[in-house]
Amino acid sequence: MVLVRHPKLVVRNLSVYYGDFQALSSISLNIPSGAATAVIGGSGAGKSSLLRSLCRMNELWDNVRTEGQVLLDGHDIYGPDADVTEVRRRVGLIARHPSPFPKSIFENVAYGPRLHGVRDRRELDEIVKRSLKQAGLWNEVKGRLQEFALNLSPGQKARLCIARALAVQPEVLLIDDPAYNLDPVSAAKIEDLILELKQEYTLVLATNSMQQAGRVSDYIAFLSEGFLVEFGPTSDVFARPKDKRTEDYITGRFS
Amino acid sequence: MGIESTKEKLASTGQTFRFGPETILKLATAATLVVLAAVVIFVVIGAVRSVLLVDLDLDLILTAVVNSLVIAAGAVVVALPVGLLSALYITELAPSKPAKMFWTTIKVLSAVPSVVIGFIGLVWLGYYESSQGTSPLRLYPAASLLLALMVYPSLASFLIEHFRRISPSLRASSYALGASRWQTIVYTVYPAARSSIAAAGFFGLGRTMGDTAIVLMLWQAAARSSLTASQDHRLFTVPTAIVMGAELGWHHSELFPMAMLIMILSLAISSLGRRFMQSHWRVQE
Amino acid sequence: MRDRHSPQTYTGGIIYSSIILISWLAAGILIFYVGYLVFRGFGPLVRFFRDGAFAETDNILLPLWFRTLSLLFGGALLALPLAIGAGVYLSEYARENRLKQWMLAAVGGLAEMPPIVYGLFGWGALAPYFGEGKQTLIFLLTSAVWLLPQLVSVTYSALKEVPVSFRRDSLALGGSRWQTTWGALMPCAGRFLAAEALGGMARVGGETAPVIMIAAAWPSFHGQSLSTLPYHLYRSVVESGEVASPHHFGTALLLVLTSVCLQGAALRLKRTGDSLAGSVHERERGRWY
Repeated sequence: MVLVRHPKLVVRNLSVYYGDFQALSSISLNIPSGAATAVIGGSGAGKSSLLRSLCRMNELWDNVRTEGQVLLDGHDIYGPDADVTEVRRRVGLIARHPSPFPKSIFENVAYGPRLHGVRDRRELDEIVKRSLKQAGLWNEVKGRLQEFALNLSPGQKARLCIARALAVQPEVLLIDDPAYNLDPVSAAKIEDLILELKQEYTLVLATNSMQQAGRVSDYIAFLSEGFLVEFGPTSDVFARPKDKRTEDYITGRFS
Repeated sequence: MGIESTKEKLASTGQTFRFGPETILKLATAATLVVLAAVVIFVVIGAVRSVLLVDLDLDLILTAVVNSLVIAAGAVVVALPVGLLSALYITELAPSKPAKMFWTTIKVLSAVPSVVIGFIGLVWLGYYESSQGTSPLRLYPAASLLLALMVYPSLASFLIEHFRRISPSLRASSYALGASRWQTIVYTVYPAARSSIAAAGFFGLGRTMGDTAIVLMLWQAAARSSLTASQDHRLFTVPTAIVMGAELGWHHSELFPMAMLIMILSLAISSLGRRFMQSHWRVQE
Repeated sequence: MRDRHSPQTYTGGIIYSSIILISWLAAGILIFYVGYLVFRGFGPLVRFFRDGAFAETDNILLPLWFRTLSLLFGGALLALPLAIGAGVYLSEYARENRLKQWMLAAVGGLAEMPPIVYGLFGWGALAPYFGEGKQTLIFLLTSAVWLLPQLVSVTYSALKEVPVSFRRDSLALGGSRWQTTWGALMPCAGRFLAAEALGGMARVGGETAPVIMIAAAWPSFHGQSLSTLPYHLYRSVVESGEVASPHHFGTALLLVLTSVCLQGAALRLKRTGDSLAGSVHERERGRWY
């Protein structure tokens, strides 16, 4: 196993089943703190399942079974004393389809802080402003915070969802396919945003695109059919893939 | 086929008359509308004639309308909250097996005819045995409760169908931000469902207001048990008044105005309900 | 691992358990009264069917049942061609304009009209026109008229449920509107349509008001020749001295069974229809909530 000095998340023997179907098979992985880790693999490889099981979103489905451990700062998030909502606050998930609530832009960002007990209007204003700035959306929407969020462009919606996740001050951000369905300009903006965010947060990205993974990530985990094939620093994996399957994927034989 | 000929074909369809499928469909639509218009016009003409030619018993009409509305409202007041809780239980709380069982039960039982519920009501309330006769005070709650029993399954399944259309990704977003189940219900599901709850209320009102059998059976039972009740028109709802009027030959002149009133009321209620259903929450996928 | 349904707080626990309790209580009442009907009515019903072929007493359940069903399906058959035509026209052909909005509103409004209005139509318009000998025809026509707007709006909404992409792709392949409707939309919407139509028939079949009204056109006659199950139940309950007689329970049970079977068939059709059309959920292996 690759040595990671300060793991933020430690995954031990994680298996996820949907009914009889095994989506993840005994994954063990150390996700480094303050860096971007890209999870790559074809569709159906288990990327989204892995991301969802890192913040206990998987169990919203009825027939899902999760085995193994995920340690967040050394505490098992599946342990008996773990608080689901607290786990989900500390580990933010940004879904592939950006889906803002059908409310105003302000209300969207303020939704999370309100859940966790922020009532003071001035404090909320502050949080909303900060989160939108962090998500690089502030300049575009600052005059029209009360507008309906569903009228934003797809790229803006994606960033709004990031801002919404940032507003609860998570420690880890899981981003499922950041540039999904976006035009190149918006996608580039999101990538810039990710480069900025990884200074402050631990990021985990699921992506199909090797190029994107190469540009933004520090570590790469390669999944294939639910198995972890390879994990290591991005430059190493690109330069000297240890596994034949990784090499094939990187050189584009599968894509 | 070349582009030219396609263009010609497109251009020609708009100009010359061709007896094609569209004509048949248009004829079917026209026939449908004619039939429906015949029903409406029949009632409206009857009503207008009565209003113009006869001295109407306004008291009877008014009492019947008010009774209908009061009894229907009573039923909805009972059935709507229970239906809402059941819908929340099925869509937000229950694991899928019990949810499926519950759903199938209420959906299937929503088809039980109201005449059966009226029968059960008579058996359980024991109207025949009691000789006290019936004051409206006793008839109203009984009718409302039985109507609530009749409308509860369809109300609950109406709400469930609407709750299910709320995009799952909205709920997922809420959970991903660390919301508890209860917070998600209050802050995401409820605002999304608010308009369907109102729509469900109107739906239930229309259903219960138009029902004939339950109140009619209660009334007949009451009329058998005491002579005074059989002359007491204060117990009529609009449908019962129409049926009794037609059957016993009373108040022929009031039938059509009452039918027209209940048509207008039902139209108003259903269009109000439909207005509430147009909500942006469900557009998303 | 913690159960996903467990609430996180104490008050949450109370609220959840009361929601669950009230829901099951309500369903329990439904199940209880149906169970009660089965308990009291099953014996008489079996007796009726067993003795029915030979007895000449007042046992008329079997022919009544057949009459009810055939009148119901007859009415639906009368209404269906017109209704499907109008529904297809409104959904696929008619231009988006105010006229269409008006037609839709009229059809929707009439579909939700109380049955007594159609009963009044049958009583006041059809009965005097056709005369005494044709009660069956009058009842058929009345139920067809009542079913008509319901079936139109069912067709319309079934077609609207089909994703736009089906229409677009079929038209893009050079199909005509007609081909698109019958080749691409109807196979998809057909099950839903059949299901909803069966559900509507379950409701219409159990309704008493139109029959009572038509029977009222000839008070002395008491509508023997057009008696249907719900009407028979109503009439005999109201006229007999004893409500809780085995005959009534048997009739009520048969009526409930008929309606429930129709509705159950509708549900089944719809469910298989769902899986055919493919659900749009992100992952189909599990169900959200």
